[in-house]
Amino acid sequence: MIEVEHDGSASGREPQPAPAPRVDQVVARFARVAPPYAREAHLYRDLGIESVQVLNLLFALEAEFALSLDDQRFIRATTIGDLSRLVGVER
Amino acid sequence: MSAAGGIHSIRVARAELDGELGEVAGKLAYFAGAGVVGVRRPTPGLLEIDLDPGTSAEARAAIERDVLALVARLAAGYRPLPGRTLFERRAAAPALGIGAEALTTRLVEAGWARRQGPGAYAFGPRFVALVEAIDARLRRLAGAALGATERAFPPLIEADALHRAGYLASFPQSVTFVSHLPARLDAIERFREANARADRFVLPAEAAPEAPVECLPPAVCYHRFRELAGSTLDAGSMITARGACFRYEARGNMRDLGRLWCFQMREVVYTGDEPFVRDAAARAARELEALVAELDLTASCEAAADPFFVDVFAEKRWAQRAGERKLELRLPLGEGETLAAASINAHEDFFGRAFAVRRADGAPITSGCTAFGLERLALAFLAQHGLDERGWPGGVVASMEQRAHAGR
Repeated sequence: MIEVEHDGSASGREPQPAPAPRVDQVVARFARVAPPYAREAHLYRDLGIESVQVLNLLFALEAEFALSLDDQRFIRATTIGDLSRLVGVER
Repeated sequence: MSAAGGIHSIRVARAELDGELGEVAGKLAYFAGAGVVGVRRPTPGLLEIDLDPGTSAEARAAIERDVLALVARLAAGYRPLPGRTLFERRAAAPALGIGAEALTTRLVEAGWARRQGPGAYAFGPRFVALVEAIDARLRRLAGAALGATERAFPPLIEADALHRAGYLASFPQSVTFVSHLPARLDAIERFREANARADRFVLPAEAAPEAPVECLPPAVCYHRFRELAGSTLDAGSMITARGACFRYEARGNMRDLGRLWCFQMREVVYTGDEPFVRDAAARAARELEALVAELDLTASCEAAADPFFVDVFAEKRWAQRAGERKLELRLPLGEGETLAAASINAHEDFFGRAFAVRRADGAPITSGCTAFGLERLALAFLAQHGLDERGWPGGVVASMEQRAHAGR
């Protein structure tokens, strides 16, 4: 697809994917796989998050969504969908 | 956070120093400088650091600065995470009602033990008999009850094996290195000559030991993973071994039998797929509870974490607790002290990946271990039952008598 830019020149840019959801953006800082992530993506098995990074993931989510998460509920969250529900961003 | 105190002490007050964080900070503060001879926690939120009277003003200022930084680094990212208690058992109140230091003094006076150096003791026949009776029971636990086969490992381990195991990155403060004189005849002769003349050990600069490539093992299970490195396991396996283990704790912190530099550990190490390891850990937990009952001990088995070094403490501790990867058997002594004398550890596939140990399907093995500190078990046993064998549980006395007969 050829896009016409504001100055009238043409460029061969591909259409940009929609920005990854905020949860994906936070998780991406710790994952070995780039976003976007499927709702069912397992944080450890599929995305390669190491257990020692989990506390920092918890802090990062709390900072991004300006909330305080329950430790036990966070520990039980193992997928992107679980995390999204936890921070109140259903997807 | 503040620091104050007299010339020979430093006081650090910070609310977070209550509980677990204070305990870890108390252990690590010993590494803030050679002048630190004692660390006390008289009240929650307060650390009192005693300095050698010969400590210079500059050294004192450096220790104070480093302890404040240590506490700040430990507290950064620290997030309490209460864990579950697997079981609790209450027996009679501790017979002696004294802590590790006073109990050690009593044992030394009674001829049960003799201090040979920091964290190193020689033991008399009664302490040895008690340790062997406990270990005989542990061998039955490992062999007859869990099905482990007996192994023996050397009292040396390659530093590279500890590196692969992640020990050097998690517990650098505890590593004990082994070295030897350089392979140069002139250096060895200088060393010999200097020591033949001197009235005590001397180390001439020109005979400085080689950079170490071996260590003394801090746990038995690392030997097992070293042994399995690069192999493929067709089925789950369970082994048990006893060995001398070494964890350096700073000279000022090794004052009694509760905190030894070198000690005896019996471990049961299980490797295989996840269901096999989970089942082995569950069976080990049941056997541990049965052991506590048989020894008639007051005890609590609860979630715990290892004393990771400063900058990895918060993340690794939290991950260990969140995954409930460590359950610790804590035994009360007296004076409000408890001693961690055994632990059940879940490694998941960490050592399988680190040592390239695979299952037949190519996946890294899962592993776990149950470890027992023999001197600590004996010390807590004595704290709770006293030194008079007539008050001890019958099974322990019978085992000691059996061993004594066998030795005649």
